[in-house]
Amino acid sequence: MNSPLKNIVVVGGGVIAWWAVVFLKKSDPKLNVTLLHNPVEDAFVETPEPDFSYLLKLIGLSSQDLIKYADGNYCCAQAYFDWALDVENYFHSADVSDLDYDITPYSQWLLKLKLAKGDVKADDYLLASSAARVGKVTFAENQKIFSAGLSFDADSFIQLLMSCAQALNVNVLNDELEQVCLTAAGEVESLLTVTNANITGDFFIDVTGGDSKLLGSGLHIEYDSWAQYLPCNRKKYLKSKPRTERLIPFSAAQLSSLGWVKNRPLRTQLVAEFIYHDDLAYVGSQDATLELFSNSKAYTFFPGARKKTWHKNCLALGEAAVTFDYFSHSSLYVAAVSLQRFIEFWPNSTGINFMESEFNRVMATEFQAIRDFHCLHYVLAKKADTPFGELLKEVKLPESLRYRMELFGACGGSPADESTLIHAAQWSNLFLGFSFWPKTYSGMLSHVAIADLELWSNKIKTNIKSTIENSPDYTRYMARLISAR
Amino acid sequence: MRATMNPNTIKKIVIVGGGTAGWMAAAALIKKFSALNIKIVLVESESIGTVGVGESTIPHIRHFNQFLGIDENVFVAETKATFKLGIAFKNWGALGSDYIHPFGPLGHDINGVEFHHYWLRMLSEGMNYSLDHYSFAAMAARAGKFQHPSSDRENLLSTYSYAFHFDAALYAKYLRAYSEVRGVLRQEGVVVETKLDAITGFIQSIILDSGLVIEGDLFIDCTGFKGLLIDKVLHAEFEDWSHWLACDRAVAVPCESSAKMLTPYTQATAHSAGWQWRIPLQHRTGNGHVYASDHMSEDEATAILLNNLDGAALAEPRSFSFKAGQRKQNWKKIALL
Repeated sequence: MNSPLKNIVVVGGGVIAWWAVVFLKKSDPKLNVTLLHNPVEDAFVETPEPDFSYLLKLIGLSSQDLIKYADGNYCCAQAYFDWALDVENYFHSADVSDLDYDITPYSQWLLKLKLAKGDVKADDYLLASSAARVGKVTFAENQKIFSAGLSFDADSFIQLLMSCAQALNVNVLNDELEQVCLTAAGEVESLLTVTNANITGDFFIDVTGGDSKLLGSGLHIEYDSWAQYLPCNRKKYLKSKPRTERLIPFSAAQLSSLGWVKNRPLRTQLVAEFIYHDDLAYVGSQDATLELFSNSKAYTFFPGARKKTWHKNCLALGEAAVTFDYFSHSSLYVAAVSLQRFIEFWPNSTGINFMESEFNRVMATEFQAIRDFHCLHYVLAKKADTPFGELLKEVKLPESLRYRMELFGACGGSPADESTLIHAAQWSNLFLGFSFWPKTYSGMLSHVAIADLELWSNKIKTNIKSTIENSPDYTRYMARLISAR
Repeated sequence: MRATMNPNTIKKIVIVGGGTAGWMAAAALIKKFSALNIKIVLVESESIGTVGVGESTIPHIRHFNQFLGIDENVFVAETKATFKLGIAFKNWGALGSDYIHPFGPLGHDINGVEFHHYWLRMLSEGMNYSLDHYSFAAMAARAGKFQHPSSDRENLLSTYSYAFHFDAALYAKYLRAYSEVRGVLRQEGVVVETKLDAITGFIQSIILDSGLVIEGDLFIDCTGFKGLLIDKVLHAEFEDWSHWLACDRAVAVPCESSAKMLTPYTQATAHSAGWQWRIPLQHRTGNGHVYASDHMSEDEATAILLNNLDGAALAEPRSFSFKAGQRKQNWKKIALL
């Protein structure tokens, strides 16, 4: 490899493959980008969180485009109904408002208040959550405090990306991959298709889904299963018409006896997702949720990550690289971030492997943080007397999450870590939202009178209330947004 | 679950050692804990001198001063401070080389690609421009100019930060006044003995040469290289880094300065077995030669230092030794280093 990368071959299909070819071409129009189009079973709906708009901007699109052309709908919070013990509902958001009392974090003064006054609700102090709950929109004015996620129809987005790809002169070959040919040095040399075409390239991107035909089967990079931490492996989708004309700016999750259900409202339809383990929903088992989804196709997924996602001249994206459950951070978002990082590490001529290990280290850190964040949902979920409740009891704690929980549980602490995709505030919001309280609060608060804390907390609530009162109604806001273009 | 504050909440903090570290700790703690009714005692002795180096800072010092609520103009006047935009490294990479490490970025990203890639590409095409040209702070430093940065992010004047050179003894004196006025108790004396709790192994009290016993809940060890508490008493292991950082001695001397020599940067000049600092203050210039004693004698190091001063030496050169490394535990039981 003595010349700069010029010919990039992307193998696979679905929203991530189309995203990748467009993103590569936008990054460097001089690249020759070929898509060997092998359709993969794809997500029906995507909710990249928290902020997808900056990535969209890089390919010349905006959130408004997705709202208009891909049934897009903002997702300002994730509601959990009856999820954790003693918590009726919790609206989680990536709100990072500065709620410190002097320098004492939110978790600390809220704990002191809770001990003195009894019931406090963690999400009462999060603007994004409080607004979403009442169908108001505050993000336009408060982009610094939090950025909204966006749910959209993946198939419609693919159509958008396809027209971008066409305009950018991406070569699209509809042919099936038969064999990955390697050089003596163990790099990918070319791809042989079923019609005997031989596709050569300088760099290959594997978007072939869980099969990982290049990095996995071709280059034998192993896959670490996270089944002990993330216990589900099947999902089903169900579309329906919305019940009201009001748009809903949040998604909602609820436990069921065989798994859990996530409702993701799009602009003109509701999409319900049933996530479960196939052992629980065997043929013939009786369950209302199962009944509801009985006509839907079951998609299989295997939570885990490949030991490395960049090896020699091959990068894996999507489920070929890493698979999570479906709480936050969609696979498109993670893939888009991976690709953007890869481009930051873009190899030049001979140094093709120079940054490989650093890239893999950085991405492994991100993947682990998301895995732990998702695992925490199961760890703190109610263990009801149901098959799924029993399954949840079996969930293991990753060592990194155990340490994080100990630290937060002791005094609301947070390890200084390197993940850029989940902030400390998101962790502590979720801990408190699911009623996982620290044992003690900071000694810095020992002198603060309860009355002062009440004053402080009421001030925050009043601020939130008046901001929400002065914010537009979400349904009307969206109507204006759509008619504006 | 019941959350309570430990009844053994810290009520009294004892700082052992004055100097800049001790008085910075005292000032920060009394400021932070003003509402907590925590007693703070600082034990120091006139008979034990301070090293008095560490007069050249990085921009974080400003956050520290801001936290204390110190007015910058007062600080500059009281400590005879000057402004600093970066550090000039002379003869460092090679004889004759001269690089300014600025408090600010070199160039900026273009299309998500970091600046150094562009610079390397230009270099490969034969365009060997000094990196300084891409840093406002470096260019201003070279020109001997300074002004406060702008808060307007669109303005080029917002692309740098700054720090200070100051007289460490005056800074300690200033912070001592700041702390004492707010309630820190200064106790003259030398620690001769330390009592540990028989069960927990925590430091319980220290005993001074006068026989005075000072009890405390938290002890902060600001005794410098000695590590009077953390090392001598609690035996926190020291991890030696001298195989990476070979210098183990320094000789320091102040010299006369003139307005002409007032540069808004610290200078670090490489010598054969170490390097020399030059820190311009309002009333004098601080100089020191840090070297590896395995490779150079003290006489030789002193001679090199005295040969490379801006003006006449104002005092006899003082020498001291140190060892690069860290305590494996900076917080052990109840002494902080």
